[in-house]
Amino acid sequence: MPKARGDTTGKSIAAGLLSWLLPGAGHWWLGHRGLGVVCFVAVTLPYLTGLAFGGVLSAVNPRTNRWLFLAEIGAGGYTTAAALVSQSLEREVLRAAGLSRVPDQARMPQEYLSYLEAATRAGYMSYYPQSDVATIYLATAGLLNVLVILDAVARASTGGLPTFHRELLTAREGA
Amino acid sequence: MKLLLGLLFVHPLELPSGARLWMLLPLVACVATVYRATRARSARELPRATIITFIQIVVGMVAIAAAFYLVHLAARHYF
Repeated sequence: MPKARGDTTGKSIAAGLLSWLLPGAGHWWLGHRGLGVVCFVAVTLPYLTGLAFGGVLSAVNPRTNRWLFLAEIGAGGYTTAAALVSQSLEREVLRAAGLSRVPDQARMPQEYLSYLEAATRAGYMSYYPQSDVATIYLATAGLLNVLVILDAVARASTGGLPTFHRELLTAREGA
Repeated sequence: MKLLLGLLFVHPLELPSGARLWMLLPLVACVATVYRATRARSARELPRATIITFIQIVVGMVAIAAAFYLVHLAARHYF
């Protein structure tokens, strides 16, 4: 059963943060254990699938894939861990390519190509169709976790009611 | 463990040929689950609602794909 209403602001922030760190953890903490497990599985599964097909170097990289990274950051705990691994792989690839930092694709196409070649030789890069599937899965997982975070915050502030509870009630009354 | 994680997430897996389209289904299942979870009072309400939403999304996407295919056929026929 959901916990009783108390200081909802602190509770909402804590539930949101927990969900950001680990999908479903906010719901679990609020007492919605079943929903917590469901949210954990429904976000973790696509995230790990995307990571498996994309490879951590190219799929979680704020320098080479910044828009995807922005979506992924919705699942903050996973993305932080993956970004750290990605950074260490990137350093390894840069050393192999004889570069000091990831070159800008538009300004230094030759250097960028040698970076890509070094990453491909190491077996860290994914290309079409794997990269497409990875992008869609990772972006969806990150954005789904934003929904999970908002739901955890809503449940924390209303004492356990779902995000669209008011809208559902209004629709039911209208019918 | 480190080797397994390395195999899984450091070196990207190959997608079997023809599997790309089928990858839609697990993703739709996850989207339907989270969407329904944000509207449910408890996990017990989820299975039926999730299955209905899953079917609605898949049917909707197939309908959109069929419509685009017809537009494509018409464009090839008339232009």
